Amino acid sequence: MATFPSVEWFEAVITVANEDGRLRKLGTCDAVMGVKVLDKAFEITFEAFDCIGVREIPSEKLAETDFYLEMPFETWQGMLENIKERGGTPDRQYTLNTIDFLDPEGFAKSDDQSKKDAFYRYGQTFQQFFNASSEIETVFAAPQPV
Amino acid sequence: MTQQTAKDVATAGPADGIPDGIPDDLRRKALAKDWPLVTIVRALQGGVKEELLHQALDAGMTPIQAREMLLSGRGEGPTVSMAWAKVATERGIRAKVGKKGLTIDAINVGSYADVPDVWPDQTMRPRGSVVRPGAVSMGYTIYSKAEVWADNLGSLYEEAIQRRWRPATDIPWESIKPSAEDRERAMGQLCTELCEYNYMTILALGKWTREVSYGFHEVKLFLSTVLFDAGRHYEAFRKRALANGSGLGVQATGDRLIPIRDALCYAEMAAIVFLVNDSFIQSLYLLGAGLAQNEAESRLFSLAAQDKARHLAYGIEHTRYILEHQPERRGEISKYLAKGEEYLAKDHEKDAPMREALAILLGGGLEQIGEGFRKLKDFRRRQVLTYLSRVEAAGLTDHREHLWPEIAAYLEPAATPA
Repeated sequence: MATFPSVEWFEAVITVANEDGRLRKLGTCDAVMGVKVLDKAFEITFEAFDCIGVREIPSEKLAETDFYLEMPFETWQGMLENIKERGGTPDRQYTLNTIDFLDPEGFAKSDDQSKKDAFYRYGQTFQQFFNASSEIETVFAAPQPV
Repeated sequence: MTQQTAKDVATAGPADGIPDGIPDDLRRKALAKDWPLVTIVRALQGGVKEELLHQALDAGMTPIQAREMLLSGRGEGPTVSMAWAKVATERGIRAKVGKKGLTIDAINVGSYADVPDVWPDQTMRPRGSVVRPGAVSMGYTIYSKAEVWADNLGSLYEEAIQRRWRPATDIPWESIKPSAEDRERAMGQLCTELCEYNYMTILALGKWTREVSYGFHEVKLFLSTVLFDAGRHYEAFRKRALANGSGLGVQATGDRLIPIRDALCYAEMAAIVFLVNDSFIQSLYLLGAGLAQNEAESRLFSLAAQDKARHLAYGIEHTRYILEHQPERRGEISKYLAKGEEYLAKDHEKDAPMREALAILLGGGLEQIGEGFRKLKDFRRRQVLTYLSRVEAAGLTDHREHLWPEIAAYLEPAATPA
């Protein structure tokens, strides 16, 4: 049982995502992905065939990632619950690409389009990463403003 | 003449009691392998080292193979000079295997990593090998590194190989269920035009890939993957159009393809394909993924978008490289982009089938086509903003001022309804 969002939650997802070669079979991925949930920010690093780590960072450091994913806490919860309910294959309205397309500002953000394009370039890897969360028990707790 | 065998010699000893000069251990080995001792004698007399004969015997070489290798028809003298193994290429290279295996970048070590600004050779000589006088010209026309280079070519090539996919089996085609005819026909029209664009990519890159000299093998390797990607996309979108009863639609107007066909230099083609058109095509792929009605469409468009993002990464990095090494070409590259934009705008203006198909997809059906056209305007605006962001990332930070007027018009805010 891990609480979303937290380093522990992402570490649990990383463990699942790296096992049995599910990321490896999608091919190499070199990217640093940020995740922003209210006031909390995380940096998740993908290198070669694996996701190699996560750490919590100050929000202003998100600019140093290739791109970061930001949406309301309730939307994060909806997406992750749907992934869980559907056994790791979300309904189409909860895929990363659909969320990004339907958000006028875009779900993936970066000041540098050449870095933001990593979101599309490795899209299936990131989708598989979040799909792996279906195999862990998640408790949702909205971060409180600091 | 009857050939003297090893057994004869072993039985009789050296012929006529005259020593034949074969060391005992070599004689025993030859005997065991049924080699004619006369072959051994002549090889030794011809200067072949004893060690080489041991190696040939140990390797299981037959007497006939040994004779062909060691002795020529010209007086049966040894001809193995090994001069080819003594040329002045760099030796001792030990490329390191990393997390991704032995990559194309990993073998760029020592002098083999030197990629000259101008490649001097018209032949197929691999970079780092020695020139063979008299080798024929292959008729390449591109010898300037800046014309074609990008620093991410090696990694993009490896990524393309690693992240390849198979339309026949990686797309869950069976997830496509019967759907409303208007939506299905709109999807068929979109797929028709995507097929046509990918066909043009194959044509253009097929032509230009052969023009690049072999000193820049990373370019040829990467462009080969783009060609293969375009073939795969053509295949996959044709399959989607034919998978659910819609069939293909109307041919595109083809205006956007004209400057690709007519490009007179590689940099012109690259700017128009890898920045202008690929950026707008990528938006269509993301539209397909974002509005997917089934798992097959979601997977198909997402995988195609992955490939297209790789092509765009080359387009951006290639433009950066040109601007860094040949800054005097800034205005020239801007003109190429404007030319691509001009023909793209013509395409948008004339191509009613595509406009209407996109409006149906965006609106959610023919009955909501009015809403679809409103969303299409937002979609076009986002397409242009994203394209501009890529051009700016490539180093043309003032391109917004030079944007082709009809494309720039998409950025104007929508009129407020009365």
